[in-house]
Amino acid sequence: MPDTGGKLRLRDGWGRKIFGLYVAAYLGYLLLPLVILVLYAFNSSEYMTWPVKGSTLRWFVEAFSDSRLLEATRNSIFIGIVTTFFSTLFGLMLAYGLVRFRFRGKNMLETLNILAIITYGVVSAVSVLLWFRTLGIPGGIWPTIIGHTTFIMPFAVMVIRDRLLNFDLTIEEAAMDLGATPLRTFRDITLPLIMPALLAAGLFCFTISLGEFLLAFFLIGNELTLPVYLYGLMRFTFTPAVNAAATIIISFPVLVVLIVAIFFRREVRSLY
Amino acid sequence: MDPSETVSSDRRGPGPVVRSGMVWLVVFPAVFMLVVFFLIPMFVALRYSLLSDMPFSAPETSYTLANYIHVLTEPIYLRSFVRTAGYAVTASAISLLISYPVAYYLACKARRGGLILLVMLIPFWTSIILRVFSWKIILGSSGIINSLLRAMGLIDLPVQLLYNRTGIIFGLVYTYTPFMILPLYATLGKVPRELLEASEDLGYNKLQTLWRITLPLTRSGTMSAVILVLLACFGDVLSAQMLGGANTLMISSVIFETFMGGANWNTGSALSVIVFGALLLLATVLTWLGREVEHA
Repeated sequence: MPDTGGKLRLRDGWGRKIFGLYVAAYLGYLLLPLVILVLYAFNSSEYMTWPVKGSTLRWFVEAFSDSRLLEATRNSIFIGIVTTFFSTLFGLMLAYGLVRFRFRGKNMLETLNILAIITYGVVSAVSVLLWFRTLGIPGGIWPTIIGHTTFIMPFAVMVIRDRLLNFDLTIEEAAMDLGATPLRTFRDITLPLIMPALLAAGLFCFTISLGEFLLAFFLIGNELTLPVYLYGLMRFTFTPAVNAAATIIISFPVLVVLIVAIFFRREVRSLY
Repeated sequence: MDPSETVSSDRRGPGPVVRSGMVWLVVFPAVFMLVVFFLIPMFVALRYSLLSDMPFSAPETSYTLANYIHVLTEPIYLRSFVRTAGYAVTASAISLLISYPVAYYLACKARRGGLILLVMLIPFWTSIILRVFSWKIILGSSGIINSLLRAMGLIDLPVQLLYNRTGIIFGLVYTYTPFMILPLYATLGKVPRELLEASEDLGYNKLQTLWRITLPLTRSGTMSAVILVLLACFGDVLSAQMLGGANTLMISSVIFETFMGGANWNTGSALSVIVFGALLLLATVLTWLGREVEHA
């Protein structure tokens, strides 16, 4: 019997082929928008019609000479990094508290966390806008960071909590039995073991923050983030420079996936 | 920290029992953020929805129900709310139908399911704006789909795929795919393989196994996937704005435009409170339904 790697064998070849074909088509459907963006970034025509004409690098030059685009990108990356740091740190602390301790108000905290995920979107964005206007806080990069951290952190909590729940507690107990303080146990035992989940959560937070539009739109004031800038651009002018910028932006996650797939094969398998 | 505070031999709970005072120290930053920048703003929105003017723009305000009465009697709001519900349900149903087989394949059949899933999710690592923009190019009247259909001689005039219901539902289904496929993949991965093999060995065919074993076992996880997509569709602004038209306004876009255009923010607050209530109700009822079915 061939090794099926723990997966169920499909017995008839035809069913399997059709099934595989369907999944391939589905994959194509998911990736199509990316392919199109990249294709039109090199398209020599100004109009985005099918089929593509010749190839040019003109739109990349145009994208790089757009100072507002560069500024928006810089802001987005800065906001993304700071948001990721605080979301993951605070998220880890909350998740740890929720999983490892029993205390009054624990259920309430869990509900609060889920509520924030449920309202993530236009409702939360306008509420924070109203609150900041009431306090007289003007829009800017730091208010956006606060908004992002508040609503992206709950997602990090879910990812980290899941890992902590599937954790062999006896390892921690052994460390403490051998005399390690809880803090030392956490630093030397728990932290290294949940590192993959922390990385996943951080990556997740960074991705959400980088693409987040609604909170940024209402909280950024006179500054720009990438999605806010692109939104303005697409509503009024249509230039393939957007595609070029998109291609550069897309290449980052593609690179990350490639690196993860190549160097962290084992971790990836344990993640999913 | 005093180790004697912990009683690690207590196996009743998920972890060691520690005095609650210390817990609050650990969870404080997160709780602070959630309370100050999520919970309080919700109450602020609730308060403004009951005011006649915004306190920071008008010298005098008074409490009133006028905003709610306005929202509930103006047909445009009710219509866009009902429309949003229709789109959300349609999009979730389509998403479930097309994604369930794929999640099943990746979780139960494919050798490298996790890796394929990772590749599938690459597009969702880019900004939603870029993805929606790309669909605009693809679905446009001189876009790739219409060009192919014309080349095959199937149509003479371009099919209108944008700025209508088709465009919006297409955008919603695509945009929220990860919310559907990730929970489905997780829940399908937990179905014991032996159970499926036993079912087929004992005479059920594949469809019967799917219907009698796999679907019931994954009902609760499927429900949470559907809830996530439904909620996301309700909160969607970009797909609706960029792929929809004047007759397909969705409730979140209405709220967005209200606040963006500097129109009546009190009305906007009332709308947002109503949508919040609806989302909460929806999530609660569906979660409860999922649990009931599981225990039956």
